[in-house]
Amino acid sequence: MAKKQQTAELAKVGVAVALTFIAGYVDAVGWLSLNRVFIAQMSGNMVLLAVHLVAGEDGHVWLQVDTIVGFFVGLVISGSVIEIGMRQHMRCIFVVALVVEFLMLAAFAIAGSALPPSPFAEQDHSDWLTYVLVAVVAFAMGGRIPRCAWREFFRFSPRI
Amino acid sequence: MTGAISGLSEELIVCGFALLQPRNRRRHGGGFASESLRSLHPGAFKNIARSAALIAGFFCGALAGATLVRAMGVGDAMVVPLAVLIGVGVFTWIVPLTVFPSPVEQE
Repeated sequence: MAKKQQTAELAKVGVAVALTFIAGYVDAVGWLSLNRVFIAQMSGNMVLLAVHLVAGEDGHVWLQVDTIVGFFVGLVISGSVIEIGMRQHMRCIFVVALVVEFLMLAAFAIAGSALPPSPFAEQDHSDWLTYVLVAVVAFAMGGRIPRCAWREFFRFSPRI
Repeated sequence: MTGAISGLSEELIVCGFALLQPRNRRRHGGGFASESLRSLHPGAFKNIARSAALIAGFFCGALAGATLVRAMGVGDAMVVPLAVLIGVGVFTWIVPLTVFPSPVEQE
């Protein structure tokens, strides 16, 4: 019994680490290719929002707002869907969040091929495609597994 | 990451103080200080390992992302997180890790 519990605990940590790996990966790709925004780290975006506001850089301000709103909406929608599923005692409800994340990241991968080839270069391409992609990927990152579910699902807060 | 790093520091402090506590120091309420702190050891070690794994996972992901997006471009580089996501999805489908009732329902 104790061994079974230990295995389940290990499995949960494995899932948490895999999802954290994806968060780090997408954050790096997003920052390099989507006009210097953090897709999975909202603290950084809040600081950048303030900095761009003070500097009067409207394009960047709207991009930061786009990211934060996309992330927030993703969290709220995904959190609600998971909560409804959990109240219905659907054991695989988290898979729904993962499928949505997969579809959105796949859309980003396909559309991302159209982005400039040298992502390390300083760039400012705040066109409509950047805004849409930022919103889509931020929604995916926000909607993966909401924090309240993480806490109970993994019996600890991953605090990412 | 900020939370994971500060959590790791808290856990290290708990663990460090528990280890450094002199065995013979008595508490006001009776008993030895070392005994009450040492009982936290297994949990603290587990939490340290977990927080360290999460930080390492995030860093490795960022490192891989930064490297591969440079080498392959955005479209091809995104294959890696998608593949990991498929693995996690299949795993959580086969082994549901959900715990009932939900935290919101519990509150």
